[in-house]
Amino acid sequence: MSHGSEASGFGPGPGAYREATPAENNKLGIWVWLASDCALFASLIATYVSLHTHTVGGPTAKQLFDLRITVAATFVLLASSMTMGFGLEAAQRGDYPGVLRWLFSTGGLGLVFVGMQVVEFTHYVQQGLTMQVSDFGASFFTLVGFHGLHVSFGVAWITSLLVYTLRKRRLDPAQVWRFEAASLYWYFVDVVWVVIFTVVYLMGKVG
Amino acid sequence: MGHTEPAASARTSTPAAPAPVHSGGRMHILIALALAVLTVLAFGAVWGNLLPSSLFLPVLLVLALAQIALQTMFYMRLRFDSRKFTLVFSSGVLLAVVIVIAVRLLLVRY
Repeated sequence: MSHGSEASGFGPGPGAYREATPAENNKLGIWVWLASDCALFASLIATYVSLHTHTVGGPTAKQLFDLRITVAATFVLLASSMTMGFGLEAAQRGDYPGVLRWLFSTGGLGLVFVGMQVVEFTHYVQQGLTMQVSDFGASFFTLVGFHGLHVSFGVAWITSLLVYTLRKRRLDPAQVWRFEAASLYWYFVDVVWVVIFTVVYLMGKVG
Repeated sequence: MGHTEPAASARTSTPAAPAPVHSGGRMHILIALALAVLTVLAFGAVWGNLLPSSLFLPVLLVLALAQIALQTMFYMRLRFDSRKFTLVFSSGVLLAVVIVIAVRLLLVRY
């Protein structure tokens, strides 16, 4: 296991101290950000769980949700996590074409996911569920839409990494932390989706 | 922070120590397959109405927790990385749980 003293930012011997590198500090910053995002999503999820039965005569989750498209979107996001992992490993190996290939795949899958969400939302609006119609609609669109915004931001981040890599025309080992930061964010978005898929869609369908 | 990965490898005790599990595409494929299987199980349970209604909630929660554990430990590398990252993220998760309970208590009569 690698939970050694060096990994904790301390030196090799007892009592010795090693300054954390800028890359390590940046990574810690990403983790702090993700931890705070947990709180943000928790408030939205808890609000949805509390209000999802308030349909005010409008469509309910059980009537509305089509799990097939949601499961397909889930697989798209799972696949994008895998390609992101390949992209990060390519960056660590200094494999320039590999980074371009896998980041492009990840961004593309992210766009497909967002597209599927737009189709899903359009379907629900056509079925009579809007933000104004009920507390269920408001909390559902806020929660799932907020996650969709996160995915969209992730796609923008990946695109900026692609542009950065293309402009540099090579991979600088000192800059690989940028890829790791983006990958952590992307995985986090995937983790949040697992919670949303379970709490909103699966449990919503069960009733 | 890719340039720290070799350092992570170097931290393993002996030169003969095996390469870390996370340094290979195989791990990503295995985790993705495991996540896909767990997703199919959860979907199948709901779609096929395979469980008694009292079991749906615990089973779905266990499947979701298994997926989250796989993703955070292996994809996000908390299993291999510094403990301080685990500590920071766990604090966020703990805060999230407190928020969920607080909001539920606040809106319970709503």
